[in-house]
Amino acid sequence: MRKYLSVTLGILTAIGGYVDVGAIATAGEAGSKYGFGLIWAMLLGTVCIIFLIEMVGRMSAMNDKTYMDILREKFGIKFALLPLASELIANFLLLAAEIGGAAFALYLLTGIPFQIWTAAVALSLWLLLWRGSFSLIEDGTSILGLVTLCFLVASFTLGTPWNAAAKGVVLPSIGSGSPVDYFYIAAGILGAIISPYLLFFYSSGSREEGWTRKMIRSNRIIAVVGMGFGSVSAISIILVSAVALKPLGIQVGQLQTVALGLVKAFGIWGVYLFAATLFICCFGAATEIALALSFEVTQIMGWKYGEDRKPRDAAVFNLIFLVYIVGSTLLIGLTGMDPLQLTIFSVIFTALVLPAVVVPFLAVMNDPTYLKDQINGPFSNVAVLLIVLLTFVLSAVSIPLTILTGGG
Amino acid sequence: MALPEPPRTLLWKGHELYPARTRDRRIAAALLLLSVILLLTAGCGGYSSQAGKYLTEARSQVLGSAYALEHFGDGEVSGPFLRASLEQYAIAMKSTARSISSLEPPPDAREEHRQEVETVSRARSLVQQAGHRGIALKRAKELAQKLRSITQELKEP
Repeated sequence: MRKYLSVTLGILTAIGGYVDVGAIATAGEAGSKYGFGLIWAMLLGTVCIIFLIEMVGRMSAMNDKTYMDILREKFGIKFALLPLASELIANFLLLAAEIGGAAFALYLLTGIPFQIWTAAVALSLWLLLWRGSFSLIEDGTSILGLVTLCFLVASFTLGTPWNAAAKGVVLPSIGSGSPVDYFYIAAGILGAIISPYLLFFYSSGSREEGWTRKMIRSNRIIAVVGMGFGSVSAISIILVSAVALKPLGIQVGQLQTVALGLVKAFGIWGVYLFAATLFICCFGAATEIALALSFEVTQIMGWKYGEDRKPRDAAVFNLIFLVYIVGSTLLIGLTGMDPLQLTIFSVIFTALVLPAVVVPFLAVMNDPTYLKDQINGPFSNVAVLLIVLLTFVLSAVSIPLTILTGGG
Repeated sequence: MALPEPPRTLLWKGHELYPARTRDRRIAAALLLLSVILLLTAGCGGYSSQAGKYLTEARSQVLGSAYALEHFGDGEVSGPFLRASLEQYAIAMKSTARSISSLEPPPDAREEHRQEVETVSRARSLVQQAGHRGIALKRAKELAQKLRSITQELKEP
């Protein structure tokens, strides 16, 4: 039974990819501008990330190494430094955005400017990571993260035309919108879902839980349920925005606009539910990013790591997330930068090096040294090849699309 | 003494790799260039498409503010949420007004362009004041009505 409870690791991982500050705004923008016309991007991203998460989980269950450990061991430290360097920059910006997102939720509840809340959010984040165990973080975030399902309930309450939504998936339409803007949002959705730190985090999380080959089957279920949860939540945001905001001519360009869809469904409770969703998801994503950063650096350098170790036994691991939290808080708190702008820069960085993180799957997942009798079959290899192709496309178009749209 | 000419081909398992790699690179570069040109053609329209984009943004921001005010009037939105929302919409409108005013309109659209900048600034001023000072329940719907009438002036060119 306990091994199926590891689904919380899948849900926590999914929160970072699907319902963090940037993903909530992007899903809202997609629905309010193009109705059901971008649900396909969410589904495509979900299929890709399910494959990758399942593989990275299988990899970690079959030996006592994380994906970053294997990258360093198999391809050398120089190769692993490229994704690491990009992750250090992208995740620094993303962490600042998530802290800003959680603070923004408190701003919506209290009216006190979000810059003031950033210090409180950062302190709580550090305390949780410093004192809390890995299971407390994953179980707590996953259980509280269920609040995002309020968007699913709202999609029913608002009377989503399901036939039209299904048609939008099969025959997506740009309508009167701009094709460049449409593909920019599609790339943003895919770039946020197929995010390298999710893979590194899931891999490290499975090591924290001490997975063995007995987890192979559960890992598949965890990948599907966890990513499925994220996908359902994010698609629900698209549906709510499409049904509640698009007919009114309101497009999501700011976070508070997403809340208006829930207000239509639940009245004043919509405000509280949105603020709770935003806070929990951004805070959860911030814990995931801070931990992922510490995991990546310590694993590549061969230093001791582990959220469940006492801080003095993994001092550098604890120091790294402290430095990152302080730096990110200063960035968002002192400059007052828009969290959404920060996520745009972060997604560009991430998309650029995405192929460097995904291409090694082809070699690692077919190497019996690491996978033993659990190497990829032909079907999984074709899937990885297609995902690699997609990552190259995302990498090539991310900068031109951002320049052309002016970042949204 | 003349330097030896660098090898033009790299041998690998008896095949000439270099020409094939060069060709592939050229094809990739051409495809990349083509996609950039296509994107530029599709994305960077003239004044009217840029103005249209910004006006749609402005209209959306004004409508969002009006919607929040109406629901505040009905008791369906809390005071802090309204204040925070209006502050954020005012910031967004300021940026949109700046973007519109930075456009270079053709001579026959100058007057219309000036009016559009003025309209967005007027809406921003109303929203900013309400966000800064707060607004009574009774007056919220009135202001929402005023903002809705402003959106009528923000037609795409």
